[in-house]
Amino acid sequence: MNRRNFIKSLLASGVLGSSPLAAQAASELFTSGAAQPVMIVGQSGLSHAAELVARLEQVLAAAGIEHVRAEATGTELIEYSRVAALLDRVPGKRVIGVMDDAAALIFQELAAARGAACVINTHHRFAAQEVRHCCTSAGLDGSIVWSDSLPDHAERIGRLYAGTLGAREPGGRGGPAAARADGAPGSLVSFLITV
Amino acid sequence: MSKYIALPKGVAEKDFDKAIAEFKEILGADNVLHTRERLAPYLKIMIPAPIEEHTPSAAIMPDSVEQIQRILRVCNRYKTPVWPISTGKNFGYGSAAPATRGQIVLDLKRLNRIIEVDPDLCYALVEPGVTYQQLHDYIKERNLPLWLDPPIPGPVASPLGNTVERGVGYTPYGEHFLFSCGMEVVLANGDILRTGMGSMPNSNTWQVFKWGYGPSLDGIFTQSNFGIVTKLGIWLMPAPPAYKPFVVRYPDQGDIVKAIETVRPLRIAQIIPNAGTVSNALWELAVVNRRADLYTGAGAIPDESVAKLAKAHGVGSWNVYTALYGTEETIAEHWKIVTAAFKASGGTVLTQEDLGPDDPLFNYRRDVMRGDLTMREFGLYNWRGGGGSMWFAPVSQARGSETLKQMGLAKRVLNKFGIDYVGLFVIGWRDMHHIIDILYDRTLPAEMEKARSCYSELLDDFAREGYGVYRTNIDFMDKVAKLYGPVKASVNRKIKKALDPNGILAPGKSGIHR
Repeated sequence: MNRRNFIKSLLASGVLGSSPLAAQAASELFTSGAAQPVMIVGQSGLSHAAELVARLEQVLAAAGIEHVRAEATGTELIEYSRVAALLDRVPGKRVIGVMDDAAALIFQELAAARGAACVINTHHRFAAQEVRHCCTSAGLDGSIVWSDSLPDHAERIGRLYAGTLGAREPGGRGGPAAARADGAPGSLVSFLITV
Repeated sequence: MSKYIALPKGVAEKDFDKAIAEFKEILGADNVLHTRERLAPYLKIMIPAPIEEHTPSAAIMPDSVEQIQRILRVCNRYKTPVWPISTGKNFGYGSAAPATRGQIVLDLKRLNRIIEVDPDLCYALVEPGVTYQQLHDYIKERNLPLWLDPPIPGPVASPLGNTVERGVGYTPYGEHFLFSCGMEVVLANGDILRTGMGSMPNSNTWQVFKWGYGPSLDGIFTQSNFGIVTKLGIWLMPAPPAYKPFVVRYPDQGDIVKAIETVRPLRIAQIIPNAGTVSNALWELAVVNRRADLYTGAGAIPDESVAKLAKAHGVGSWNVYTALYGTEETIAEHWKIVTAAFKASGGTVLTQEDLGPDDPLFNYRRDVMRGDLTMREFGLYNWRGGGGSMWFAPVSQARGSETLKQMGLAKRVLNKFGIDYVGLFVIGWRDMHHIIDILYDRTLPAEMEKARSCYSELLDDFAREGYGVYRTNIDFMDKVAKLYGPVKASVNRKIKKALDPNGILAPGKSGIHR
C-alpha cells in the first residue's frame, strides 16, 4: 500500500489494520525512535490548539505511546533561543507540534538545522462548523485534503498521528472529551518531526 | 518508472545512476540524498508554483571546495546541473527548490566555517553555510564590538547567501552587497577565482578594497549562475556608542509623499544613516494579528476599513521606522534636525519612551535596526495562514510621488485578485525597495492560481511604467529576465557560454540559460 492510502486509512474511523499494512507503509522516518517518548509542543493561547493537544494526549495514551507535553506562547515560539531550548529538551526523537503558521515554520526550520525531518505537516482551517485539513507527508506525492465536522476533527487528527507513530490500534474514543473549542474561524498547523 | 522523483533534463537514468554513484564516492552516501523522504525539505516552498516544476532530482552536501571541484567534474561529464544553496532560507522566493525540475541541489550548509573576523578592520570572511546566528555567537563569545546586519529570516539565514542574492537588512549596512568585499568563486570548470585584491597571491587586502585591478567581477556572481561562491568578505559595523530608534506615524495613505520627501534628504546626507522602513498600516497589523480576527469581508480589505483598523490599533497609515547612530552628542544634534523635519511634515515622532517597553512592532524594528536577530516578522505568515507567501519587490526612486504611484499601481492589481496590500518601502541610498508580501492560503488551488496570476500582472503593470523588481522567485525568473531587455539577456548568455559551456550551474537562475 502506498503512503497516500496509508494515511487515508488512518483517517478512516475504523481500525488501522493488520501490522503488515503498517509495516509496508512505514519507513525509517516514521518509526525512528519508536521506543522513546514523544514530545508534544502546543502553542498556548491559540484557538483550537488546546483541544487538539488534549485529544492527541488522550489518543497517544490509549495507544500506549509515552509522551510529554511542553507549552509555549506564540511569542516564545518565534524566538530562536526559546525554540532551541525546547528542542534541547526533546526526550526522544519525535516531536508533534501544534501551533500557528509562523511558529510552525520557525520550529521546523530550527529543527531541520539540527538534522530533523518533517514527517507529516497538516494545515487546519477552522470555519463555524467545519475544519478543512491539508496534509503533506515526506515521501507522499502531493497532499491529502479532507474536511471534518468541528466536533470530530481532533479525534481523527489524534488517530492520524498515533497511527503514524506506529500505533496498531491508534486509540479508541477513551477518556473524557477534551474541552471543545468554540467555532471561531482560525487556522493552525500540526506536524510530526523526527529529530 | 524511474526510481528517482525527478531526473535532470536530457539525462538518461543510467547516466544519473553513475553520477549518483560518483557523488557517493566523493561525499559518502549520507551526503547524497535522492529519495522523496530525504528530499522533503527541498520540496517545501511558499510560492504558488506547483512543486512538480521545481522538484530536485537529488541533494548533495559537500564540505570543502575540493569536493565541489570533484562534483563539478562529475556534473560536466554527465551534464547533470546543480542548484547551489547556502542555507536555503529564501522564503517567499523559492526556499531551497531549484528554478527548474530535475536539478541537483548543491547544499552548501556543511561549508560552515567562519574563516576570519577582524575586529580592527571590521570584516568577516565566511563560507556559505555560516548562519547569522553562528556569526552572532562568534562575535558575542569574543566580546567584539561589532554589529551584524541580518535580513528578516535572521538567525537561520546565511550572510553569504543573502548577500549574493542582494538581500537587505536595516542598519546603516543594510545594502548587503554594497558592504561586501571579496569573493571566492568556484567556476564550472573547477577553477577557483578570488575577486578583487584576492586574485593577488598573498594579498591581505582582499576584504578591505573592493575593486582590485581591471574589471570588477563580483557583481556577475550575484543573482547569477556563473559560479559557486564559496567564501565572501562582509563588512561589519562597529558598534556605535549610542543608538536611538524612533518611529514617525502618518495618519493618511497619501502621507507617503510627505514621509518620503522628508526622509530622503536626511538619508542622502547620512543624518539618518540606516536602511529604515516605511510600512503601511496593513503590514503593521499583519505582523501581529490574524486577518480573520480583524476583517471577515470578501476580497481585499478596503482603504476605509484599513484606516479604521489602523486607528483602532494605534498605528499610522504609514509608519517610518528609522534610527540615529553615533555618540550621545551627535545623536542629540541630529535628533533636533530629524524631529523638526518630521514634525513639520505632519508626522508624529515616537520613541521607546513614548511607546513603553512592550510595543511588539516598535521593538522588532528597534532590534533589526541594531542588527539583533529576530524572527518577529514571520508573524506575517499568520495573517492568512495556509503557508503561502511570495515577495513582489519593485524599486522606486526615493521620491514621494513615485512611491505613491507604485502603491496605487500595486493596490489596483492586488485588489482585483482580492489580496491585501501588505507592503512597505525599505529606504535605500537614493532608491526605495518596495516590498509587498502576497499572502495567500497555499492549501487552496484556487488561491494558488490567484496569487500566481496576481504576481504576473503586477510584473506586467509595473514594467509598463518602467519599474523593475530587484529580485524574484524561482517561478518567474524567465519572465523577469525578459523585462530587462534583449541586450542584457544576450550579454548574460555570452558570459554563461564562456564560463559554463555545459550549463551545469543552476540553469534558469535569473532567467539565464546556456
